[in-house]
Amino acid sequence: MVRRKRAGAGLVKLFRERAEAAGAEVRTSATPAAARTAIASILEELGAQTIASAADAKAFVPAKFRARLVRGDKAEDSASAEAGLVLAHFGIAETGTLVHLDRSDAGKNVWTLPPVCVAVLEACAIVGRLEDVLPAITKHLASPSGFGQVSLVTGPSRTADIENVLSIGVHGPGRLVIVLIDGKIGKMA
Amino acid sequence: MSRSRIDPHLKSVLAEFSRNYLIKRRNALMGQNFEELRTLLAEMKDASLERNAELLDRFEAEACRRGNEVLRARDGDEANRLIADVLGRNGAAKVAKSKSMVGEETHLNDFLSRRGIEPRETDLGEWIVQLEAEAPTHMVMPAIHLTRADVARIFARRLGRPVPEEIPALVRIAREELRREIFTIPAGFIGANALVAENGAVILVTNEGNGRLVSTVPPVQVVLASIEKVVPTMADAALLLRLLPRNATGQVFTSYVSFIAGAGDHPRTVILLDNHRSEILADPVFRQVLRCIKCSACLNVCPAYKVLGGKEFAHVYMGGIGTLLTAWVHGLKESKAMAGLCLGCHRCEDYCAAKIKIADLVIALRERLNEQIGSPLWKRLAFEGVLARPPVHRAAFRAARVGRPLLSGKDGYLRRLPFPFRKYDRFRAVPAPAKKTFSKLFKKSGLGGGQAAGRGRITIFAGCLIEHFYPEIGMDAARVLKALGYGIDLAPAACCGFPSANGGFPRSARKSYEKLMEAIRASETVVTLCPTCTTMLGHAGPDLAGDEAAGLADKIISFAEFLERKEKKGLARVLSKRSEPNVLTYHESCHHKYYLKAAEATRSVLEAATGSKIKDMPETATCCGFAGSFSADHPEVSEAILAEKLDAIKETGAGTVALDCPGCLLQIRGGCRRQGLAVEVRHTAQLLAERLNKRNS
Repeated sequence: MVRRKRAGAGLVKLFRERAEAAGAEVRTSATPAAARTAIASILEELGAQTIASAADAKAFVPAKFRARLVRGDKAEDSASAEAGLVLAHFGIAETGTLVHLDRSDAGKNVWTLPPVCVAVLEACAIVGRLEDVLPAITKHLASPSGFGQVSLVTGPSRTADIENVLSIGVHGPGRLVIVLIDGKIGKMA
Repeated sequence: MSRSRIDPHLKSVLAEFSRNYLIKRRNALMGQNFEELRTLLAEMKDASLERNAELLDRFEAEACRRGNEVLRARDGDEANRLIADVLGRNGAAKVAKSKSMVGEETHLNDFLSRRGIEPRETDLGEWIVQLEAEAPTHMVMPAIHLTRADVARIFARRLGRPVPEEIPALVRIAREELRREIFTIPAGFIGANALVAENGAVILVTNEGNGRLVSTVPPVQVVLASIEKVVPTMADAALLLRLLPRNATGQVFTSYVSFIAGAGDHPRTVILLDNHRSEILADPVFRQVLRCIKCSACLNVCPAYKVLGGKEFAHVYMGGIGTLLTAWVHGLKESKAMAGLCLGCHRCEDYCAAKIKIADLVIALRERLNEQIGSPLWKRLAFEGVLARPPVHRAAFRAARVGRPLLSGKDGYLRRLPFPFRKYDRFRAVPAPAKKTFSKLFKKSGLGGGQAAGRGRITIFAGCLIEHFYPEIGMDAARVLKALGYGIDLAPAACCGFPSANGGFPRSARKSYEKLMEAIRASETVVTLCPTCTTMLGHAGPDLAGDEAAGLADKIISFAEFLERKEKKGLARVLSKRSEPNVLTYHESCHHKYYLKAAEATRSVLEAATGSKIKDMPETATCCGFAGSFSADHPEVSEAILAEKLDAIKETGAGTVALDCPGCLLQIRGGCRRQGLAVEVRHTAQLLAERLNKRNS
């Protein structure tokens, strides 16, 4: 029991390291309510007027932004929002990757089009390697009636196409902020 | 004279790119077993290719079940027509494109433009080269040949206003321009990094996120994928994704990886392109070309690509792997010039994610080119008329020795060549043939014959360069082996066959090889002094001769490996350990390092004999640019590659360069001489022989 907890903490640490190495920012909250507060302050720091959010992240929209919410259904709306708020279904520690089992183009738009992407991830959804989450991905893609797409997102959008110099935010978000809900964080501190 | 093929700016960009790539790749592979992973990938791809037709059918069925349309195209024209038809059917006059090398292969953009459909590239590099009406010069970095100033000029022309020469500003313009257009473009076009048979998924890997925009925002969706991209399961795809980003860009993972199985909210048409790949599949020698996952690691480490870039060393596909693909998808003739640009250094094979024997296959391609397209007369004469006939070969060198006083100065080098030939020797002094051959010196020396002092007999095969140019190396090797207690015999001074094999003349090569092997059939152990000859006698020759060579290869061993395996104690007995007076560095000759895997043996022997640590130069295992007839075919490229090698040597401050290959010795020593560098360039045998203790020297 104790050993499993330790391994979990190791995975969270590794996820954080790798996500940051890929250029993502990681903020940790102990509870979903704390996460909502953290998200509110991130959006305020941005001075965001409108945010885009897909259905699955609805629970994390801070109260004061509920009125300033666009759905991702129309791509242009997502593009004009200052931030997108999304929920990641899994995290992959080895590569610092977020996994999203897409259910609509709207969801993909929210992940991709706004200049800042704020992604909520629960620490218990972090796995070690891509291979560990393959069963869930494969299952999601298997159903002929489902939407049948999966996105893996690691860090912000990047390019090195001019003189091999790294630049951030070319076509996708320039910032990826991961809000990590880690119940153990309070006890460990 | 024609313009220079080497663009100095591009050369320096590519050199830096390659240096950074190697560092990033090493970090990204930390904790991964690259050898094991690529063996698995090669096996997975081979197994997938074996059942390619079945997997394509499965992919089609699964993709269709999920609301997609799947079409097959026999060749590039048919693929282009199908794409144009889908776009036309949906009334799309413009299509947003994510990067697709297969789309480059079919010249899709030209085709669409002619049909009145405007293709809009969205990958930053692709867009830049599209605006400049150029072709990509690297599979992953399409615009690597352009500077930020070039890009600013290109963007300014497009926008009709001045643009700052700053990369962040240029990247912002690319974003704004695409965002302005993307919501009104009716169709999106993507390539595929892999196709998954079990669920009909298209896998798309991009860093910029343009692939996600293009595959999500426009209502009409088209995918173009070549047939070898299909793998059976998601687990196979995961293996591919474990290697692709790490080996391609030195990233642990790519920013965006999408699995697109369901059609989602839009109709999607997937076009599967054959374009002669079925013929590659049916070819037992070349089939492995289709294992390629287009990571372009082979380009990033190719010494010739680094100097020339993807305008010169390309048709559409670039470098060594590109040469092989070109021969089928664009025709044998188009691959001819490219096939001549492979140095045969085999470095790419160490980095290939799918263990493709790129350099070996380029040699096999040269055979087909010679058979089907023809070869220059001088090469046929040299390989078939001279090298394959030892008496003619010997007579030619005899003539050169007779003419020696006329040809060479007192220093042992040829006189400078007159104007039209200057490019062949301006960067490297060319040695005159030695006054006496190794065979002759050995015979006179009394080192041969006699009875072995207990350790048995060894046959030395020195190779042509030592026989005719550097007999002192042969003598030194003989002295070391004699001191260790071996009786010494010499193999006949004949060509091993490598130059012919490398040039694509397997019949001459086999003739030389078999003649030589017949002469040394009775020998128990044959110690070689040239890694290229060793490669021929131990590996390439037996492959050519098949069963008839059975067992012969086992007794061929390079000088350094023989000593390291059998005589470490013996060397300690006969040598007086003495450090080099100056810094010692070691050039890892290509065949020695990449084919024989013997560089570590030399290092161990040298460090034991000198008691000092070798100071490594940057990229010590990169070709010196000699590569046999390459330096005569492409003197300019040979010169540029040598210049980098000499810079690397200078950086170490070394006074002595050790190496194992007389070809590298010719090139590097000749280059040092032209540059006036006070650097001794010595074969391992020389460094050992000068340390023989009194009793033994």
